[in-house]
Amino acid sequence: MTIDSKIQVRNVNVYYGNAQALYDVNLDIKSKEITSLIGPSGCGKSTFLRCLNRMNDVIEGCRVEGNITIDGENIYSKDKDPVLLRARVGMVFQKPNPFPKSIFDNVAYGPRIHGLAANTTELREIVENSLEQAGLMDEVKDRLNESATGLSGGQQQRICIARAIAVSPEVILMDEPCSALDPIATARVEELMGNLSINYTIVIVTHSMQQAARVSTRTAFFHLGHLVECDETNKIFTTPNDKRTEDYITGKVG
Amino acid sequence: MSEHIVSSYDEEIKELQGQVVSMGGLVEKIWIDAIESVTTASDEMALKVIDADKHIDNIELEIYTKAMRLLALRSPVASDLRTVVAAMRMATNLERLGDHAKNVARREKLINPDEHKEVIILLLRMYEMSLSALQQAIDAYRSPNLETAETIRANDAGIDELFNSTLAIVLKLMEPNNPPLQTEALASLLFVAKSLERMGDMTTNIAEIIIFQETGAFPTEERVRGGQVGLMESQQSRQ
Repeated sequence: MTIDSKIQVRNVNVYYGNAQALYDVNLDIKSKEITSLIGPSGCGKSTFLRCLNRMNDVIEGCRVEGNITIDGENIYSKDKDPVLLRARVGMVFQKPNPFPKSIFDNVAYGPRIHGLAANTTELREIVENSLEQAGLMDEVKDRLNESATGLSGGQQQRICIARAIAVSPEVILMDEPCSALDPIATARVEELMGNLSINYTIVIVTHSMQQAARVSTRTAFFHLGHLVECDETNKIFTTPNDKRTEDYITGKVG
Repeated sequence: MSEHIVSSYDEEIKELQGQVVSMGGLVEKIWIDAIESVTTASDEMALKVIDADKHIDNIELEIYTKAMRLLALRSPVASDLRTVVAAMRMATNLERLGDHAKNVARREKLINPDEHKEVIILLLRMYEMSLSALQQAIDAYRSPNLETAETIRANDAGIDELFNSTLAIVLKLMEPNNPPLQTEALASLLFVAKSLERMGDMTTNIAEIIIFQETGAFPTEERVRGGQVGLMESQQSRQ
């Protein structure tokens, strides 16, 4: 295993029925840094992201072949419980999706179902700590019992991040987390991602090349189901190796 | 080369590069006129050169404005980013090449082309080499050509050597008892030689900008330098 490699992906092929979505993908994702996945719509980047916490299991007809390990453990082995895996590998989606519950209950949801708190004091600590880490505590501390759906879009997305953090994951997957947010809310989430990467391994799918350039240490480019190249973000955006990457990021017809 | 999906982006980049090429053409012309002003002792030509340099300075600003606009509005990356950065560096070098041509023209009044023929012959040889390198460099920028860029880089040593030979001859001609006007004329020839030597250096910079634009890396190996500079250095190296 490569040093510092948190997630190791080997020879992964994904099919939706007879249609192949990913072809022989090999990738090492380093621990405690941000990796961006970029590529045109339908290139397989979101499919790839969902392989990392077995979200594809819930899609009928989806078949994943190959080997994906986190800290050396095969996440697709028969004895692995996908629910426990998803606690280790949290996910934040494109559209903020808070539950129609209070701010407190949204963040407390995961710790409650996984039994992470022995009593209400511990639960409160987890919730407050998660909101703190999500940079939201100051904004919501006086209205923890109010509905989370009453928050702004940016705040809702940070509630979702706090909810993901509350179950102490090791990896956070983000599928276009800022595409529904304005530039200020986007900047807040990006700043938050930078802070979170000190403790968590983050993989983000983004359509915004500038966002990939701003937030990630490494960037992987997918095209037509193939991982074309993965390199340091600076290298990808100044001198990419592959012409397909060059054409995509510069907005040229391939 | 593939084209951008957004055609106006392509147009803006082509326009930027086109302006750099046309600035290159003006710099070639200003150098031809500067040397002609000296060899024909033409005050009128010298004034024309000084005026043309102002125009070249303005074009540098126009290129910077266009490049800034592209950076701000298009957020270029990869080869596009290198193209914009290269255009800005090209403009800077071409502007300085224009300044040196102006410096030569300013010496025109102080130089008698019928005197110190042995120095003038060397200057003209330097000029031919430097101008030819500059013309090749602008062509290699217009239609990117790495081979030409590498050749220009390697050939600069020849211009340096001619500069050193010119310097040695001028220093020998400079006698303590020379009338001041003659010393001034010799010093002027030396300034012209230095400008031609700098012309070679800046043309080499252009070659390196082309290499950067095409490969993303500046050449790291040292340029070949041509010989020793001045009497002091040759005496020191003998010791």
